[in-house]
Amino acid sequence: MVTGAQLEMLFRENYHAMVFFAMRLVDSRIEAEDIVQDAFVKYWDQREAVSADLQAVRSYIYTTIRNASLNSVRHREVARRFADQQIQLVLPSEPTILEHLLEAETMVIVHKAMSMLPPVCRQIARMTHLEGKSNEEIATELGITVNSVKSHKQRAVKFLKQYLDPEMFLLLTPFLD
Amino acid sequence: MDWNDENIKKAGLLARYLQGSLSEADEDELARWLEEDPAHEAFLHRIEERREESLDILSELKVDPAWEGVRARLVPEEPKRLFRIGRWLVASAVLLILAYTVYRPIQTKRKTQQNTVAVLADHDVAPGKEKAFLTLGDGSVLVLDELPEGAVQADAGIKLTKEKDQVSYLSGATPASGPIAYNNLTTPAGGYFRLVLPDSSRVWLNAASSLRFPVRFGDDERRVVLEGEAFFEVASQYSTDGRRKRFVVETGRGEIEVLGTRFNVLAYPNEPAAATLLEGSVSVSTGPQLSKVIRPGQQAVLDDRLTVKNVDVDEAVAWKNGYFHFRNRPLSEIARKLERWYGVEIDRAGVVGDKHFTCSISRDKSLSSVLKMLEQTGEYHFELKNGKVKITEAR
Repeated sequence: MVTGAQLEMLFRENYHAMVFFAMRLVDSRIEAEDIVQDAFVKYWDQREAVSADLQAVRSYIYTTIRNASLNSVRHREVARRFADQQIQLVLPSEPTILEHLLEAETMVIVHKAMSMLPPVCRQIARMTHLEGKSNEEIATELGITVNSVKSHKQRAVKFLKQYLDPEMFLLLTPFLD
Repeated sequence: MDWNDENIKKAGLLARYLQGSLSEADEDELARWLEEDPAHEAFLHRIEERREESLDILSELKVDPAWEGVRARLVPEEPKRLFRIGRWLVASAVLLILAYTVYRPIQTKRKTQQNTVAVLADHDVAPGKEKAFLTLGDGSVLVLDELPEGAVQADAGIKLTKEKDQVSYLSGATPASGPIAYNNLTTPAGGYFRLVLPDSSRVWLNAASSLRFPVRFGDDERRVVLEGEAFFEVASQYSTDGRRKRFVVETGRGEIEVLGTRFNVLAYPNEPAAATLLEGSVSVSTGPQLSKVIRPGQQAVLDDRLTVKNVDVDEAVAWKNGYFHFRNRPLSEIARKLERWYGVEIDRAGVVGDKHFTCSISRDKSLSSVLKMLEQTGEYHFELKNGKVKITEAR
């Protein structure tokens, strides 16, 4: 049976991806966090009935999150129908739900990789990607030379390549047995 | 919901795509996946477009308070009820254990390298956290992690403030004259703390380390004594006659002298000392006639000799940024770092060589998860028991 320590590891390993996934369904961070936390508590109460295989536990918790999220959307729809008489229930299809799951897991990997970069590299990556700034603009804003912007970028690319290396990748996702 | 290896690999592939680090094999695989279904391409565009927004969401999530909330709601595990078990059951259990201990060596010998990972952990060990003692000039000791937040009354006339994992000497006026008291900040194994010195220089103190410093710096120089590891951000300061005041870190193996800069000092008694520079310039000396100046990106190793080499600075300061980052490091060195951060003993007697590893791991992980990762390399087997780790050769 899964121990308290294992549950904590599962939680820490998966919290970000699970909340992100639930958010794509319920569109509220606070609600998503509640749903994920409830799912872990519910699993703990029923752990004797679920296989202790960590992969199975993870799937079980994901299923609980999905069902709770869809229920919440359904409730909201019902309430709205009372309010403005619309008759329309839009629930995401199964392929869409799986897409959300894939997005969640993908973005968590990117996020982890980014958070391991030194702060300067991270900021430069952000300014490049998000704000579409050129090396010159970044250099002026940060008060450093264009060359050091370039070398920070190179360092970031090198690090991310190494970090996201498929062989390394196995090492970095240890609890998915 | 089924979330299998295939999906995990797919998430890795897409993450590499988003970071622009696809290999040639990846490119082929991605192309195949995009051809499978036109919806895949639309999906990829969508997640690419909202990439930054998604990353913002993820950085706002805080796992520690969330876990505390969940933990408070869990019905505790039942304690093991040994006493209710009949004697015959105990006897058969003993037999089973005996059989197992006899059978196991045979089995492990036979076992070929499998994909399964079997770190044995009876009680997992949590990572280090903010924990430190402050010894004042009069010899009294404050346990910093137990003090309430805010002002702390310390040596006469000295006011400190404590805030989470940091203690600061900046808040109060320090007497300009009179004898200077020395304070000592010490972290145990499994602890770390941050310090703001009276000149507003900042210090990050790693586990099992100690820093001795005056509560007020004299006019000619600033001098502290380090045993263990610390990262310094030294503020520039001028003496009353307008000279830049030097800042000196004394270690058991030599001195590091700077004017104002950022650098890391490693000075544990059981390994060579090293100073790594991020900015500015630093002079390292092991005696009156032996000193060298190092530049950013360089590291001075203070062993029997004084050597300077170019290093990956990120590796040296990874601990301060919350992770272990080992690039081709021997097991012995990794073991020492784990011992200090998790406060455990690591027994390598069952290991023949000293193989090298490359890996990055968050320092927030519990010990068993770190060992599990190392074990996946297939080189060693780790057993965690009663706060001790035993390493043996795999197979």
